[in-house]
Amino acid sequence: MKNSGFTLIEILATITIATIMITAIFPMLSIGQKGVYKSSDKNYAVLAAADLMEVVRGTEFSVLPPRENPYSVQELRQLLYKGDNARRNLVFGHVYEDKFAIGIFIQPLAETENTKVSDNENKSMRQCTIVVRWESVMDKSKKEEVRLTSLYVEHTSG
Amino acid sequence: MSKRRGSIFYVVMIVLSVLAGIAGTLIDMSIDESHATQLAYRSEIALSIGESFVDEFFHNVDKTMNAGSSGPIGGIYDKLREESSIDSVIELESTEYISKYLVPNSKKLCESFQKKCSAVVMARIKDIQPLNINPRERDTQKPKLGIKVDKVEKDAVLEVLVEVIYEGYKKNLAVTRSLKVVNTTIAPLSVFTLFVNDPSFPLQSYWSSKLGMDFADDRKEQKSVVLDHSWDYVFNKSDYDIEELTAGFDTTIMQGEVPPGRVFMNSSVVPLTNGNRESGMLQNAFFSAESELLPPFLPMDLEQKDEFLTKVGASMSEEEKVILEEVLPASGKIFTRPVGYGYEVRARDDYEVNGKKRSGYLRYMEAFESSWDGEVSRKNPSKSGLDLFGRVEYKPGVLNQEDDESGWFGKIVKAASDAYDEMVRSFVNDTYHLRISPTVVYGNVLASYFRVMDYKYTRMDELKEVWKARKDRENSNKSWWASVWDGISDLGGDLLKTVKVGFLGPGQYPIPELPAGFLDDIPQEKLKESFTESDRAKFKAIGWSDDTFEDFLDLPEGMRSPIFFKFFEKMRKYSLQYFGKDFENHIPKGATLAPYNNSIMNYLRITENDSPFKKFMLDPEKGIPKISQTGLTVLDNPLDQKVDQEWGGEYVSPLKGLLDDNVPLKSFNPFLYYRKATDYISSIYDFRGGKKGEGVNVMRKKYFNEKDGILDINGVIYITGTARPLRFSELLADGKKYVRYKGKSIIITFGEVIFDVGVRKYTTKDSSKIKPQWGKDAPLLTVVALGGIQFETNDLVEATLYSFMNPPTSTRHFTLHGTLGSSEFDLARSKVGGVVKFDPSYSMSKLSRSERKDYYWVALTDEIKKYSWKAAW
Repeated sequence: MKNSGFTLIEILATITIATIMITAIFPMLSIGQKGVYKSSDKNYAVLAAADLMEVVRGTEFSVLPPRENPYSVQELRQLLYKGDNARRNLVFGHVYEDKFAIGIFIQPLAETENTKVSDNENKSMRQCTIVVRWESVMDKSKKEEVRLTSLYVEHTSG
Repeated sequence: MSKRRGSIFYVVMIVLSVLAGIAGTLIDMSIDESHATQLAYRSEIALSIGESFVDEFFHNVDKTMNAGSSGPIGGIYDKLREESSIDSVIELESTEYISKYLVPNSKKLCESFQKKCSAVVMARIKDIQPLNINPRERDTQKPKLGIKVDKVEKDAVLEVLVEVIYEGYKKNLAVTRSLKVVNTTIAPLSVFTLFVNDPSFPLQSYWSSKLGMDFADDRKEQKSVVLDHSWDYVFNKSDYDIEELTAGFDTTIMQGEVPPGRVFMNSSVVPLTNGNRESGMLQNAFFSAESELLPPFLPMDLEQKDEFLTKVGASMSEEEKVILEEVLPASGKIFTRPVGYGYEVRARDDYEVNGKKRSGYLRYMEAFESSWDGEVSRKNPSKSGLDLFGRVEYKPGVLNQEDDESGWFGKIVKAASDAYDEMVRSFVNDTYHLRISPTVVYGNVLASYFRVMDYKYTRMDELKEVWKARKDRENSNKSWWASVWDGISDLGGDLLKTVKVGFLGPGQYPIPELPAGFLDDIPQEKLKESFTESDRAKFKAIGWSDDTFEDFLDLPEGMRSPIFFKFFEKMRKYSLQYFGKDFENHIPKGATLAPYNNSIMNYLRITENDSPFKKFMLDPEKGIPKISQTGLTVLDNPLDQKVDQEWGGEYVSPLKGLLDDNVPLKSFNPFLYYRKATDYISSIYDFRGGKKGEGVNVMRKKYFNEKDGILDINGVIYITGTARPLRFSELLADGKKYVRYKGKSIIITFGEVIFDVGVRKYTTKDSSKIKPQWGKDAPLLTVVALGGIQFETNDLVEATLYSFMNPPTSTRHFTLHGTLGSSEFDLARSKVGGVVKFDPSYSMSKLSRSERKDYYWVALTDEIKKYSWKAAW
């Protein structure tokens, strides 16, 4: 009888230890992977928010009047291309909405008494908040969110 | 083989260790990724907050910098407007001040992140310099010679630094913007009703008074452009008599409340008013102020004049008769031109001016009416010459009741024949407004009118003898007259003088002038005896050379007679010469010029002999006569100096060009060229927006307040695109018939401007009650159109306008409240006429230094983007 091969005990012991270790390692792998995915999602979300913030900053006040409900990206696109507001020169190929739920909040900004010298709406300021939400890669029952807020004025062409 | 037992364990362990390593790496990577993502997120948040601060800072700075002097903000920008701010640095160092006034909302936004966010804003105004106007040398940065810099206008830099810390992540933003302080009025324009200027080629100042008749189609009538100089503001009433006017001159003009001139013409001799044969009027020469500048092609020799005066019931002066009888048969003809003094409109019967008898208005009126051909002419007041400068106009009620049968002139004559003693009074009744018009003209040429005349030989055979005798004389290859010209190169000397009045045509000659007192000792009975060889000593005594005297003897006898010189001595009594450098090219041959203002003063002379204004204008001692480079005598009148001072050095009198070796600014308009823009519009329409092919009106987009329906515009705005005109109808609010505007602005467009709707100040509710306004809230709008101004509406336009490349044109009878300026003015382009009512609101002369601050606009500009840089790190 040859002594080649593994004893049953060896195999059982190895399986047992491997199982224990794999049980410990695999979640680590998953966590690490999800962590990378999570960061990636958040990066995209921040980029999406920043991009949209630039879009809003460059859009005339009349196109996006303030309102309580947020604008969606799809709605924003429609407004930008709608009728007289058509941005024929603007290629707006935003793709983030497939992954994210994005809300664009436009709010008027109350002028302080000290600075209010004109009632001209064109010369006022607004506040834009971009909220980007997505399903957490860690826990699908939870939502991740980034939020960018900025005040802005209307920039007209010259 | 026992050694191989258990090796699977090692293999598995190695595999598991690798897996563990991978897992650890993944976790570590995810931690790093998470950290990086977090930083990127914080960076974006901090940048957004920082941009909020910057946007709000500049937004509030932009809005508050002109908001007045109250509070710390107003104080800052008032300080910027001070002349002393040049080279200083204005620190906006108070954190509380910035937080409270300039970035309150951004501060709140930052605070809304609980304690995660903090921000610091620092700002200052630096590099404050006066507007650098055309520096001659880059090193010294001195303005061009002759330019006085308005030290209130400035270039500066506004710098802001924002530091935002969000959850430990620090973001800095540094932004600079160009800051400008600009004057929103154009001083030289602002003191005139009509301003015709630009002596440079090819934009010669030009007034074409083709008024009244279209010779190609005489069925067409043409209306006047009435200049209403708004004396009603001064006198606070619209009807006044001559005494009030006289008093007004003294009390208001002399106190500087009203500029001395309302009409400015920079060059060329043109018919000052509508006294122009070409226009189809004044053939019968109603000798009023309006007829003082008759055209070159209407010479009237003394015989014709005698006939004409006889026809209107007047006669020549004794001197003229002598000249006619004694001189002309022997030598030639003296051509004269009808000259008036304004007094005619006040004198009902014959009167005397400067020793010459004249007929009063009534006879001229009758002669005019009786000899005027055709119904149309009689009914057309524009042909009378009376209404061009707004002397009279119908009151509205009367206008509606105009009797076609009697016509306008019929009414005038009827009114004149009533109980009033003076013509002026005849207008001050229920029928006519006297819309004053002592049109005191400021300027080098239109301040002149033709008084005297040229002399033309009619006996050419005799003339040939003169030439032959001259040629026979040794050592001379010059004509007699050439030697005379040589002899008068120094007008200040005591040698022979002539009235040097331009280039004479063949057979036309200037008249030698003898020193004062030279003829005094000649008895009356010898005045007609010509000077002869026996008088040589007398002439040598006054400095004439033998050659000159011999040349003089070549003249026909009549021209050598003392009475001939006496006649001219009288005619020259008021002939101060007062004209521009190249006037020779524009005036009739042999004409002598005299200040137009003399005629105005003659107009007032009878009632107010001791009028200080009259003395001011008439007394040559108060002026500073100078000999110019061109040998012309120029009266540097104190009024010139006064106006120059009031214009703040922006405009230098054209007369200065004759006197100053360096001749600064003689060939262009500094007040137009040296304007700094606070905003540029490259094209009136932006085709990225709006309906396809139409675009968005950028003027409207930028400056029209849709909410209130008001054009809210301040500063100096350049429109560089010329593809389409600026149409004011596109700045109308929905449902409105005229544009309303507020703010103080100058729009300079390279293209055309079309007024196709009324344009009113926000404060003007009723166009019939327009009145001047001064102060912070008084709206002002100045439009300079290089492509020209066009009126397509008869609604009120309240603005100061300058039509640069083309004369103003109109298709409707326009009503302008402000100033009409142009490089040239051609009434043929405004056949339907119009009214320009002067608006003193544009002049700062009556305002104190502190009040003038409101007329300077502080603005943030972008200029070159790379210098308005924004940096974040």
